[in-house]
Amino acid sequence: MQAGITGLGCICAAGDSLDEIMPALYSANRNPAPSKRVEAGLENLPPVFEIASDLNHINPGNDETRTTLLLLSAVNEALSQSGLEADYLKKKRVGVVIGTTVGSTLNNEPFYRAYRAGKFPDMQPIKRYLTNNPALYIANRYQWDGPAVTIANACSSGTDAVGMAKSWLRGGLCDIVIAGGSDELCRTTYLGFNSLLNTSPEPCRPFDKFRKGLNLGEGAGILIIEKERSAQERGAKILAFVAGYASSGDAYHPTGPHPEGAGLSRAINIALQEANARPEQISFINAHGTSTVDNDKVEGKVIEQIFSDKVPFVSTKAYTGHTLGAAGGIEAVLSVRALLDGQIPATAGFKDFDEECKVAPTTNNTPIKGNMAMSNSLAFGGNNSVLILKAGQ
Amino acid sequence: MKASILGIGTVTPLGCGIETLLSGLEGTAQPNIVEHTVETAKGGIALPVYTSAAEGLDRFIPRNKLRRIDRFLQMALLSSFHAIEDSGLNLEDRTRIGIVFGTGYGPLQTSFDFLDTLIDDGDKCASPTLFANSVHNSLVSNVSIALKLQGPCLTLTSFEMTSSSVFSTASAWLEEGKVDYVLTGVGDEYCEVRGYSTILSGSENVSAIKPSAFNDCTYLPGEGFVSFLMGKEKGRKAYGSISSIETGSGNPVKPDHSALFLAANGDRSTGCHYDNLQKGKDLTRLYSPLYGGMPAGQGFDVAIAALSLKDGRLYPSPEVSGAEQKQAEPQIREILHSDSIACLQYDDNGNFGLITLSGKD
Repeated sequence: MQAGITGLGCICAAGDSLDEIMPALYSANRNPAPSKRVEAGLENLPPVFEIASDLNHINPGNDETRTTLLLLSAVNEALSQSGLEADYLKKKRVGVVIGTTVGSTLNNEPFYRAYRAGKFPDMQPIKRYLTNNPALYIANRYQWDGPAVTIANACSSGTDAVGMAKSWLRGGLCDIVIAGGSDELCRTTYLGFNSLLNTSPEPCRPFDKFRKGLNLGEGAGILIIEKERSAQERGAKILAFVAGYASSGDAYHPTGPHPEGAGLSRAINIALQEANARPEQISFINAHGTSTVDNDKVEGKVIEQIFSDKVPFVSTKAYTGHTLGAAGGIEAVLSVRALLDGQIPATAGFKDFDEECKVAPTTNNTPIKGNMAMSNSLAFGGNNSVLILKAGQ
Repeated sequence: MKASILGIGTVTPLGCGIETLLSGLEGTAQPNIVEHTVETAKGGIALPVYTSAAEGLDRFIPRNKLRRIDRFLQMALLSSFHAIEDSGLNLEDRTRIGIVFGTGYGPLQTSFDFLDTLIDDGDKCASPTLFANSVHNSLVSNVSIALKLQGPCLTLTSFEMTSSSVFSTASAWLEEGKVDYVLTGVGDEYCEVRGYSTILSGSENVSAIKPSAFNDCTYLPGEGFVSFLMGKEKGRKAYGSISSIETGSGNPVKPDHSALFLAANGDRSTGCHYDNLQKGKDLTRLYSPLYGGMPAGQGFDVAIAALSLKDGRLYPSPEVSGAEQKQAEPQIREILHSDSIACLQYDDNGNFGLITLSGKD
């Protein structure tokens, strides 16, 4: 059984759809700036990759969270590309697996401030939280009957969602899976990452010697994944396959990576094995590349150890920011599109080689050879997840 | 392939360790129910809360480190240590041990503690430690570090569908050969805001969970954590296996079903779905009055099912809880004539997760 990808959807600061996003990436166009929506009492506001729209056009008149609206946008785009229609989907067992961070957390600050102040707030924010669990929301909205799971695995959540989709199809749990991630910018994560001293005061510079940290972002990335045979039977074009997935823990530190990247190395090797691929067969890597000092140093070291300097790699977070639970979904989507486009973008912000990183990301749009991409996600808490995506026939 | 349950650890309002759960089932112990006063626009309202504490964690973690660990994480850590200890296994290659936890609400108290730092001290003084521990996967992260588990790590959160997702994932990892063992766990914690929302959702004047009164609101919040060490080893299994997991909507219960444990907990919005079942009353049990109401409650029923299969006994449902059940009386256990037990939980949309355990290979 092969897990075929037949639809892609994405929304992030680089654009509202893939047809907007990819040209922005290939023209190295980005514009991180202080948030217009998230207020913070800080002297210097770290820039973010924020979507300008209030998103109300996506589902007018309803009371969804921003994370849900981002998710809906990406799901609709992906379904449209896949050619799957409502009547067909009703006859199939459709699963939903979505990664998120903000979307799973009850941290409604206005509600909590009112509660603490003894103002006895009403339950609407709690009800909104209870009805906006990302995977359950989508499954209930479309009345799909397959498994519905929200993954809250910090920054690897979206990658883990795609891996779980592959597992569900292989295990016969469903016929089609809606997989990916969605997360909005909010004060909690903005101030939280600022407190950890790993946000950059300037646009992020993945793998650059003088990088100063990450820029947060928001968005959603969704893949429609189905059994190869089912997709072929309905005449759908298979854009790519989920060829390999692995996840491995560092068991080292709650917020920092293992200094030698032990868990990441293991995850890459297991994913390559599952994809039946050798390192030299990988066309490019979409690195986790947060632009924090520790992440890029460890990830660069592992890339150099396994791939030498022969495989080009990019950090698309240079254009999306770090979208946390959505990142893995967005990066899987962008990786598939880059495979189909035959090129990867430059890593905006990278200029100076860092000997500690051992390797340098792309500095120009780079043509790729072959048909396999790897996408890495390293999470808070030490989980490392890796996807290998193979272009369709 | 069936995923065998090799060890169990529990932190519940009955105490810590499966012996305490067994005592609750036998009627010789009662859950720890603490009365909180919830301030509302109508004034203070009493709310009995099923309260757990990770007593004995200092046997595994030095006391000076415990004070930096929040209550929810303490529960997850202790139940995890107990699950591995209960298995009796000497786990060698920890790169081949995965961990998948689930929680309905996540570390609620720590999330609000983090917001407290913003409110009390200003945005510049947000606490990095509280932020790191407020994310849902902080439990998995810290437990994997404490136990040096280096296989895949995953945290799932789908309210009432959480437990079935967790067991499904653990079973898939074993089936696919990704791991040799999986530490599996689910739980939730109580906090003041949860108490406030419980009262506003209709639990005013509730003194006891009456789970079989499906159309009444008798919900009382509970907290705790239950962990399982799962593996594929046939010869070692003490507690039976997960033989199937079904999810969907509607009624999955067949007329000739085996023993059936319902995770109904006095929440009227989910209760109506249990009410629609055609239940074989003699083999249906409801145990939420032992552990309290929480989205991840089904995991505790799985632990009870595993104990029942091990002992070949079916324990009676505790009919009521709280003030109405202060007198501890030994309960009569029935012989379990079935080789399997199904654990069912609904959400308010009528989606179900059905986990079936079998005593056979």
